[in-house]
Amino acid sequence: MRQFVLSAGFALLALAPVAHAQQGSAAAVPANDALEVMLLRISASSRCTDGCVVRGLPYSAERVTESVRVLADGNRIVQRNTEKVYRDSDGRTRVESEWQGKTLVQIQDPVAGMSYRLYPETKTGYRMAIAAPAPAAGTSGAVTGSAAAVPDAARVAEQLAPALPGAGATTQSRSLGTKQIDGMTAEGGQATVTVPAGAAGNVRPMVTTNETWYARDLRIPVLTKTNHPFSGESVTRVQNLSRLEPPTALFAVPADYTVREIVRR
Amino acid sequence: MNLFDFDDDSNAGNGRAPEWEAARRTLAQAAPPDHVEQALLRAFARRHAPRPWYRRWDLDTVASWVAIGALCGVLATVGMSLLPGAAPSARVVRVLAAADVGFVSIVPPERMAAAVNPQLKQADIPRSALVQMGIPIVADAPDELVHAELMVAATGEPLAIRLAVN
Repeated sequence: MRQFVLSAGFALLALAPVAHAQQGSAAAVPANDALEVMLLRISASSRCTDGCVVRGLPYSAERVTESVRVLADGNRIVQRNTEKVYRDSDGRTRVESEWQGKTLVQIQDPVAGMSYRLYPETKTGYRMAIAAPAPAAGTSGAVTGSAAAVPDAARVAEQLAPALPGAGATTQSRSLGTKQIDGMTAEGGQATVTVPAGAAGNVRPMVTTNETWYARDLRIPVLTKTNHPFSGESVTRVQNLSRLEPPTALFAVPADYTVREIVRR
Repeated sequence: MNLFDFDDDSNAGNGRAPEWEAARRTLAQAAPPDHVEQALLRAFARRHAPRPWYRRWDLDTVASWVAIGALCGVLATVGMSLLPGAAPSARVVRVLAAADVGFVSIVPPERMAAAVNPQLKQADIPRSALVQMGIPIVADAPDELVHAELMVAATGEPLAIRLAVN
């Protein structure tokens, strides 16, 4: 009997890692995870699940966003945000940024069909299967393939315009041609949306501009400038670019992480 | 050949006792009662019935096999973890997402409660623009539109947000 008990205990010990790796029954999402779930759902829901995956063009770089917002009293809020971005030859992407005072790692893995949000400090994270959203009535859903993936500056500005109060906005768009940015040939476009004076009680016209420079050979926007009456001026640029293949480990979840898998209902 | 059919002449001079030979001659014509042999065989079979396979294993045997299996499991697990291509996986806990989490507050509750005359603003905004605004989502399809609803205080401060892919 003693031998049996010892053997059974040994067997349980051996099976523990297997049980550890098993996915338990799904529980409800804690309320304080609602924001994470919402953002992950957006990341994991795309009408362009495979068509937008860029394969065979690996790179790593820093993406720096500088924004300036001028308040009514003349005060200025200046923010600088640096992200590290990676893409491998299989189209996996990784973005390292800071979110609410914590380091956030977002991994999009089209090979495994999974989207991740990871927090290295706590070794925790979330994941969700990538899928197209359910069609909603009355919505067109912009389907954009990678072949036509140049962010349309005019459309960006037009879509931002409804956030402005009032109607009657007019849009003007123009091509800015091509130029070299950090050794890459980039195509530029600019759009200007104007809300006329008086449309929302505004004394003067409110103008939103969006300028985007897109590197076709790498298929990424390398420079974006936005000027918005409410959110202020914002410039995003790509720097320290390397076209070497990033390490594979960057696109995998470390084994010592605890990951919550968000399951769609 | 019948056991008792034999040729006496062939056994002549074999050294057997005369009583034995007499008994053999007497029993040569005898026959056992009907079905005695079958009854004996059935009785023997009942007494010495073959045990099923699971009863042939005693506790020690079972314990030994379990121990061997467990040891193999441990060795396999260790071996797999040592292989360069077989990275161990993270612990995964499954949770159910609500169909729509609704508005998510991005300010403390007291500031939400103190907000005067909040307004709802909504727009279909490209992913790249949301990222530029500081909302950390994946923008692999940069110009794909995300429907954003923002609850904004009269001061312009964003109070709550709801995003959905249409």
